[in-house]
Amino acid sequence: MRKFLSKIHIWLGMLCAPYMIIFGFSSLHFNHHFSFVETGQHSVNWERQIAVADTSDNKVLAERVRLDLGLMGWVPWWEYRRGEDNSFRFIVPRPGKSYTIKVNPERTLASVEELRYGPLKVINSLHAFGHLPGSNMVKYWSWYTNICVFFVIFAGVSGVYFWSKRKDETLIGWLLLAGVSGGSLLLMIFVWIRG
Amino acid sequence: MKKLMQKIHLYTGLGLLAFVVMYFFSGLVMVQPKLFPSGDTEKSTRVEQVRIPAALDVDEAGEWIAGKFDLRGQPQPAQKLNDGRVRYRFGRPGTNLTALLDADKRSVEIETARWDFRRLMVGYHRIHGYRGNIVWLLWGLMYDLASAGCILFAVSGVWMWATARERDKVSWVMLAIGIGFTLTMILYLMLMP
Repeated sequence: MRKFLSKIHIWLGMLCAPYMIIFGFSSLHFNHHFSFVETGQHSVNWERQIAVADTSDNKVLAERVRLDLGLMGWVPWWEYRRGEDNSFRFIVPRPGKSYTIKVNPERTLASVEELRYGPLKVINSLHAFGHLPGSNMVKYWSWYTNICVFFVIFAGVSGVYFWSKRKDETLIGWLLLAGVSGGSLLLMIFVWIRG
Repeated sequence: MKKLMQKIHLYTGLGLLAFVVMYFFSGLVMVQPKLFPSGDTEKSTRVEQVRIPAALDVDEAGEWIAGKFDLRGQPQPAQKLNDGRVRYRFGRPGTNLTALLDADKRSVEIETARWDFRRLMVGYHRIHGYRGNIVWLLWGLMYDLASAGCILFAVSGVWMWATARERDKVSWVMLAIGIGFTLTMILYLMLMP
């Protein structure tokens, strides 16, 4: 049993090690907002002929243009802008890139400002990411994330089990488990009840 | 070096177990709304008359209100509204308190929102930063330790495996899949339209 658990612990550990590093790094970034994460971004401008049917529904129009351009990403409603000449501007953000798209009044030409983020910002966005319009691949990241979540819970339980079978490191182990992890549980209960 | 890595793996695992598991479990709750659906939020509002000391600035007035009306939670930055009112928020897992101070600073509207299990977990997952009293500073420290612990845990685990006398093929395959898929995902997001 112990050998089998050990193998699962190692196999899933190998599989999930990259995600653990990404999770740890992105969590530190959320807490400290490292400026170096923002490095490496640059923008590129391009234009493309499009053929989309016009509509007064901004969301539908934005989706049609996004699909015609073959872009992945969301079309947030708060970024829609209609000009007096019926030109249309919207933004398609997603991890890795953000597109600011201007469509001419005839709906035949899209002028795009493509903002490309640096690799650290992309890594940061993988913290929790399971759906992206226009992409079939992202769902696999969601599966991977779920596997890693179960692994961490399993690793916690199996790791304590492995430690409990050891004859050394018992005092410091108990101090850490009861003192720090137990104290952490008390802290969680305290902030929930008392704050 | 190998012994050091073993100690790091064991100590980070045992010491940060509760926080790391909490973050992964609460993350699961956040990304699986079908498994953990949202429930109702209990809200209540009351209006209190106040006499805020004139010498206090906006942030100090928020602390004064929190102390006076026992608004417990991690304080968020004060928001000045266009009509002159000031909004203070104090959040803790499961509860959100909002105090809206009138422009004349004579009354404050306090809204208490108590959340369901899902939002409780979201609250645990999202608290961060070094703001508020010693409890929230301690939380910020544990958050950082758990985050750094994830990195140390992964690196020390791979190191121990890499320096072990025997490494089976399945482990190699798993590591290759993990690294390969992660790199593919990063390049996919950077290069695809």
